[in-house]
Parts: sequence; structure tokens; C-alpha cells
Amino acid sequence: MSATPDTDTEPTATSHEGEIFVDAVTKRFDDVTAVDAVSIQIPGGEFFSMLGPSGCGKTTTLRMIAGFEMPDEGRIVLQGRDVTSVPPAKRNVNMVFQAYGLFPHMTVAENIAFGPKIKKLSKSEIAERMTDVIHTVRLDGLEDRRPTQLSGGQQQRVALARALINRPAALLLDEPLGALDLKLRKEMQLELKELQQRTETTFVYVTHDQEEAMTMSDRIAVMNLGVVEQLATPRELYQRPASAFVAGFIGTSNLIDLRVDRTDAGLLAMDLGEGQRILAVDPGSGHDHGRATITVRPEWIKLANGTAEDRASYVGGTVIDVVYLGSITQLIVLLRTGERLTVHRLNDEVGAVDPHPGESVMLRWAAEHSYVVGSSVAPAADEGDDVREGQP
Amino acid sequence: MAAADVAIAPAKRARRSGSGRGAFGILFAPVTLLIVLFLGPMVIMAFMSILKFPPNTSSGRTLAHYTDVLTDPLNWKIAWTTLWMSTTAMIIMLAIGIPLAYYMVFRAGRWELFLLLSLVLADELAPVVKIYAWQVILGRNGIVNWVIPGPPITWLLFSPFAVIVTLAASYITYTTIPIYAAMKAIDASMFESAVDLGAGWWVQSKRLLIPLAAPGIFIAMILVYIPMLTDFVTADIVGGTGSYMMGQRVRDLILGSGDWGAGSALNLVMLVVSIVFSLLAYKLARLNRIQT
Amino acid sequence: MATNVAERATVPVATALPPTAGVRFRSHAVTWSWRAFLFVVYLVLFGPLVILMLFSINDSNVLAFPLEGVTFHWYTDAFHDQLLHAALVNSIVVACIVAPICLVLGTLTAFGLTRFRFRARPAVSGLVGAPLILPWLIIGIAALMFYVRFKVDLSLNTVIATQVVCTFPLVTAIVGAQLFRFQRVQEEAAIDLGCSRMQVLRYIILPHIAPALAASAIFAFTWSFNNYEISAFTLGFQQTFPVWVYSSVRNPDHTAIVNAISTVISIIQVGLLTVALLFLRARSGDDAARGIIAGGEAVAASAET
Repeated sequence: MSATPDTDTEPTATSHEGEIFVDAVTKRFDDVTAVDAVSIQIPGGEFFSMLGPSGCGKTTTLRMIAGFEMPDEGRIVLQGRDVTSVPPAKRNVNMVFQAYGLFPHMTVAENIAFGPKIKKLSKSEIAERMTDVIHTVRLDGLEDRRPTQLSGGQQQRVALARALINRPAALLLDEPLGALDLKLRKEMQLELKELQQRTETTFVYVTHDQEEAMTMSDRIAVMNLGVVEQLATPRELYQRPASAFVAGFIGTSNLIDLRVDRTDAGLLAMDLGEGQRILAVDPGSGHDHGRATITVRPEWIKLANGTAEDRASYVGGTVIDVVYLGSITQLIVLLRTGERLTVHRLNDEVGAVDPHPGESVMLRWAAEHSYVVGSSVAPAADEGDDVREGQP
Repeated sequence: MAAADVAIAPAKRARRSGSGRGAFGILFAPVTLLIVLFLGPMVIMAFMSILKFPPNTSSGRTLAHYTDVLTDPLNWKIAWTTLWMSTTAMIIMLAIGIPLAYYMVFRAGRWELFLLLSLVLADELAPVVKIYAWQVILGRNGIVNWVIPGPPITWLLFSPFAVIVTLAASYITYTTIPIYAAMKAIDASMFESAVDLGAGWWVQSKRLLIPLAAPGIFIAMILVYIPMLTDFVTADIVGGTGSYMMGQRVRDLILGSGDWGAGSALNLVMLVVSIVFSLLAYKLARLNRIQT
Repeated sequence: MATNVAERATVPVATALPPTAGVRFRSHAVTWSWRAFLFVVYLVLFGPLVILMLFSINDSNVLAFPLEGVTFHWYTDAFHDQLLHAALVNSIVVACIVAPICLVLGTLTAFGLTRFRFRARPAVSGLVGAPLILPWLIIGIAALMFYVRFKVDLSLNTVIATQVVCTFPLVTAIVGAQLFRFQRVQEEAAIDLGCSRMQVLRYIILPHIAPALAASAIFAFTWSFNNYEISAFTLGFQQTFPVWVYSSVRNPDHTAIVNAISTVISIIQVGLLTVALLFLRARSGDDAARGIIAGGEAVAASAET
């Protein structure tokens, strides 16, 4: 689940095309440690995202890859070469900024051609790349406009084209869709993903929007307080969050404080009397007689009619809120333990009746869907330095 | 990109740390110049004002010039004349400048730039001669007397009236533009919704326009009051004995009677007044600024 | 003007009704009273200029109405006046020296004050702003005493030195305001695209502040050329143009010549300024041009805030 490599191992010497290796990098600003011994390995051609709330260190990490910040410790390796002290201009990566940073006194074409011109590429080469990249980002016909005459989405494309024309080994994107409205943002997400696949360039994408990261990324590093909480594929992040923080940050999630009354047949169990119980798969040692935090996704929780399978949680509660959301109905159920669960019912049957507020219901979900994210006994960690007790 | 290309000398350590030195390098020449040629003269002037017989440096020290200057009833009379004439001019300018700025910002449309440009030009073109032209307008055989029938009105020229009118006409640009700048920051839709809510023009001006333009008004007062208090050109050309101003007094003490002691003491008093006044107006401007 | 639909919807029905005849009459009256107001204001502003232009072609050296016929001999007189000639040359030379020095010093200061954070920054910006706020009379007198005390002969050089100190803060105010509006991310983008520090300056920052530099140059030149107060106190035996005007305007034999030369200079000034502004507007748009005109005059406003 975590990509923390053994720091002694150099990346293999075969093909390093587009490969990025952030090696135990630490960055401090005055007394604040913005990035704390973060290690990330990104293979060439991947769409990689760094996701987290503001101040989690994602942008600082990106800026260290770009060369705008110097790490205090650790190193940055691009395509097999240590570039820790190489200036941004010589790194063969390009950055797309949240505020775009387009040059207002230049036309679209001049903006895009700026990088190659500075690097003194031949006129014919620039022209060739220009035609190519303008077509790729679909800016045909707008070459002579000024940035101020463009819409937000078009400006975004100019920023992309201006970076892509340099044929960078990796494109670094710092919340590039942050300034766009929701609808446009959705369109651009798909476009970016497609662009990444077509150009086979490594994209390193920074965002605080989990949906955006989930939509586009091959893998995501969820960051909090300067460390990587979890680095995994979107599916894995959602289904097997490594910490309460990740569970809370990715999608909607129920966090339940589990009192471990007994362990049997590989299950942790909390007995609530009258046959009611909450079960979770035992992730390993050390949970008996302790407490554990489990997470359950709302869509896994079903309304039970009287009984439940042996290997399923089975618990009663009172419906306190019902919200019809179209494809799903969201229920808030108050458990007798005092915890509130969010339950999603898929509206795939005509004439299905939702419970009313105040109604008592029984809930069930498979033990496999209670995922242990931590406990008071020992951290549920296979690679300890990567997982931390998060703030929900 | 070739490997050799990239393996360049390490990037300079964060610029942050060297920032103080960078500022020093860039600001050294201008700041030195200001210290030598701006602060230096101020210090010398202060020094002159405490010499018994300036500019003779061996003549001994005294504070007599200050007591003389501050107890001379003539100076107080001149100060009073200067103050009331400047204040009258200032009120006239605000009465013109506020609506003018309002018009440029909210009503002029595509004429805005033209109006602004002509306002600036009006200030920059033929400065001394323009004041002189007021002699032609207000004089015994001037336009006003030519237009108005009957015996010539004599108090039009070489009088406080002439000085006030000419001052107001000369400094209107400096009054209007800071107010214009402050109003420019106001959201026009605010007035629309005020009108929608049924606010009349008086309520609009009193409750919205004036408070929002207040920082500009205070800046305008810094820019206009202080030069008016020391103006001597206007009163020289269109003023008479009844409009003798502080600027003229200082100039005449220095260049006319060569009385450097009284001249520098009076000048320093005015310097202090100017500084106190601008700090006060600046404070008020900041206090009244709407945070956006 | 675009109105928010949602906002409109909340307007009481009574005010949303079509305007009645009374309202229409009132809005006409308002429009006309604004026009009358503007007419009076601009009459006061430009009337004196028009008058001196009229008298520059009036066939009499007595400045009184009615006019006595058209002549151009004041212009030929002006052309042959040796003192005027010398004064004009002096003023142009002084302005041509003062303006570029101010441009360099003022721009450096603007960079220093906007791009660096250091402890003495408030003190330095106060020092730079002071010559803009304090009256030229006070500065001129202090400068006179300073030069006399250190036995520096009064000449065009002393005028230049004092004018530089009073004028370069203006450049700082204009250029600083423009630098303040600069998006720093452009600089990072340029570095990311391969620029060195010097290339960033040349390709990104200079084009950004170019309009402000142009405006500063115009204003610095005009300030220097028009300045009477400083010249009056720090000048030696030579004359600058404003000093010549000042002494000639009170000499009845000279006023017509003053009118003639002032007319010529005003026309040249208007021409140059218009060309410069049209150029600026074409290059950087309406807003830039407006900002620069306003910025140039509202010096303290931008210098202080």
C-alpha cells in the first residue's frame, strides 16, 4: 500500500523516462515543518496526484520537484539524476500554476512559444511544435488573442500548451482547475486525463479536491501535516483507507469507535446485546481487549429485515434524517451506542419505500466492509512511518 | 536534454536570506541622495534657525528667532489670512471635486479617460502664465467687468477674492484625482441597489458616496492644503495687501530682507505644521478606508 | 450596466414600473445640470489658457478687452528674444538631465521597496514619500541654505540636484504602483520556462512596467520643466523658463511675448501627451492609460498606501 522504498536502493538503471523520485525530503519554513521526510516514487507516464487540505505540504513538495524550493533534507531525483540543487530552468519539468501566470503583454502564440524561444530552438522547430500543441489543447484560431480576451478554460489551455510545448519529462500542475467553475472543471478533468494519456507524460497533480484526484489519477498520495498518510490507487484509498484521516477525506465515511469485546474466527467483535454486534476483520495482532476505529462506507450498510448472516454486523438504531438525492437516498441513523451512521440506499427499484424519521431500523453490513483504520492498542500499520493517527 | 546540460552548479541558496543585502544594494544610491540632498538641507535649515546671526556659524546659539517669530503679531495675522483663504478655497474645491469625481467614475462612460486627461493637462500646462491670465479675467478692464455693466468692480483683483478663486482653479486637479481614485474602488452596483431601495441623491451622497470617498478626500487635503499654505506665486500675481500669505512672508524674509534667522525659524514651524497635518490626514484616510 | 437578475427580483413593484413622464423630465433635468456643471468647471480650468492664447495674437500689448486685431509679431518677437532663448534652453537641458536620472533612481527605489522586505522599509518609504508631500518652498529654502553653508555655487547644477531629489519619488510612486500590480507567478512561470534572472527582467517585468516608465518620464520632464519654486531659490545668475516667465509676466512690455511662447509650449505639450497616451492605450488598453494618468497625479495616494 505505501510506496516508501528502501532509501538505499537507487532506481533501476533501465529506462528512467519521466520518472520522479522524491527521496526522504524535508522542508522547513522557520519553525514550521511543511514537509516531513516524504518519500514518493512516481514511474514515468503516470498520472499522480498529491491530495490533502491546505497546508498539508502538497504544494511545497511539488515546488521542490519543480525547483522553486530547496529541500532542507533529502533529494529530488528526476529521470535517474539527482537534481536537488539544479535550478528550475534546467530540470526538464514544467509547471502549470493555479493563477496560470500567463504573460498579459504577449499573444497566445507568443506565450506558448516563450519557452522554446528562450531555449533558442530553431524557428521551424518552434513552428512545428506550436501547430502540434495548439491542436492538442484545442486552441486553434485563438493564436493572436491576448490572454485577457480568453475565457478561464481557454487561459487554462494556454497555460497547459505553454508547458507542454517544451516536451517536459513531467508536467507539474498546482491546482490548475481551482479558478474554474464547477461545470468547466469537470470537463477539464476529463480533458486533462485524456491529454495525459495521449502525451504519455508524467503528470504530478496537486489538489485539495478528492473527487478531482479520484477522477484523474492512477495513484494518489493523501497528505496531511507534512506527511504522506497513504499512497495508493483511488480504489484502494476508498476501500481500504489506512487512517481515519484518509477515510474521512476520501468520500463519505462512517467512523465507529469499536470496543473489542472478543476476537474469534479472525473477527473483532463488539457485542451490544440482543444479538446485536459490530464486526470487523482482524487486521493482525494486538486488538483484543483494546479499542479500534473502524470505517464503513455508507453504501455498504443495508437495512436488515430481522436477521443477518453470521459474519455481518447487525445493529439497531433510529432514523433521524432522510434526504432523497435522486439516484440514492441518504439516511442518518442514530445508533444505540450514540453514534450516527450515514447510510446510502440505491434507488434502483420503482416504488421502493424509504423509512421515515423516527422509525426504528436494523442495519447490517459484512464484516469485510468494516475496515480497521487504527486502535488505541497499536497502530494498524504494516509500514509504520507512513501511517499516522489522523484528525478526522 | 543532455545530462551535461543539467549538471550545472548548484542553485543559489534561497534568496530570502540575501534579501536584506539586495535591498541595500538597490536602494543605496537613492537613499544616500535623499539623506544628503533632502535631509541634509533640512538639518542645515534647523541649524541656521538657532544661530544668532545666520549664516555666520560662529555667532553663537539662540532660540530667539523662534520666540520672535511666534510672538510677532504680524505673523499671526498672516497665518490667519493664509488659513482662511486656503480653507475657503479648499471648501470650494471639494464642492467641485467630489461631484466631478463622481461624474467621471459613474456617469462619464467612454468620456471618462478624456475628462481625466484634460484635468491633468489643465494642471500641467503653462503654470505661472495661467495665474496671470486671471488678471485679465478679473482686472479693472478684464472680462468680468467688460461683461457686467456699470462701473468696474474693483475688489475682483488684487484681493483675497482673486487669490481664493485662483487657488481653487489651480489646485482642483490635485483635489479631484485622489477622490476619483477612491471612488474608482467603489462598486457601482452599490448605488444601483441604493436607488432600488429608494434612496434619494442626498441620502446616497451622505450615507454612501462621502464615506466611501473619505480616504480620497483626506489624501486630497494633504496634497492641496500644504502647498496652498506655502503658495506665494498666486498671491504675488493676483493678490493685494490684504491677501499677503505665509509663503510670501517666508520668501520675502529669505530673499528680500535676507533675514535667515526668522526665515528659517518660520519655515521650520511650517515644516512641522505640514508634517503634523499630513500625518493626521493620513491617519484619517487609513481609518476611513473600507477594507475590501 | 448589467443588473443582477436576482437582485432586481427583490425590487418593490412600485419602483419596477415603467418610468412616468415626471421621472423622464427629472432625468433630463439631471443630465442637463450635469452638463452645465461640467461646462463651468472646464471653463474655469481652460478659460485662462484660451485667454492667453487669444492675447498672443492680439495686436496690442495692453491685456484688455475688446481685442484689437490679429497679429503674429509677438511670436516673432518671442523667437528673437535672447533671454527667453537662453531660459528655454536652460530649462530643456535641466529637464533632459533630471528626467532620465529620476527614471533610473525612481525605478530602482520602486524595485527596492516593492520586492524586498527589510526592517528599515517603513523608514525608507517615509523618506522617499516626504519630498512629494513637503512643499517646494520649504525644500527650496532649505536647499539654498545648504548650498550656501557648504559654499556650493548656485547654478543649473544645484537646480538639477534639488529637482532630482524632489522628482524621483514621483517615479517611484508611479512605477511602484505598477510593480505592485505585477503577478509574481508570471515570474515563476518564466523561470520555469527557462529564463535567467536577467531574461525575466527583460521579457516579463520590463514590458509590464513600460507604460509606467513612459508616464514617469513624461511627468518627470514636465515637473522639472514647470518647476518655479526650486529654481527660484537654488538658481545662480542664469534663468530657467518658469523664472523668466515669472519676471516677464509682471513687465507690461513682455506679457504678450509670454503669451505667445506659452501658447507654443502648451500646444507642443498637448500634442506630445496625446501621442504618448494614444500609444499607451493602443499597447496596454484603456485601464492602463487611466491608471497611469491617475497614478501620476495621485502621487501621495499611491506612495503612501
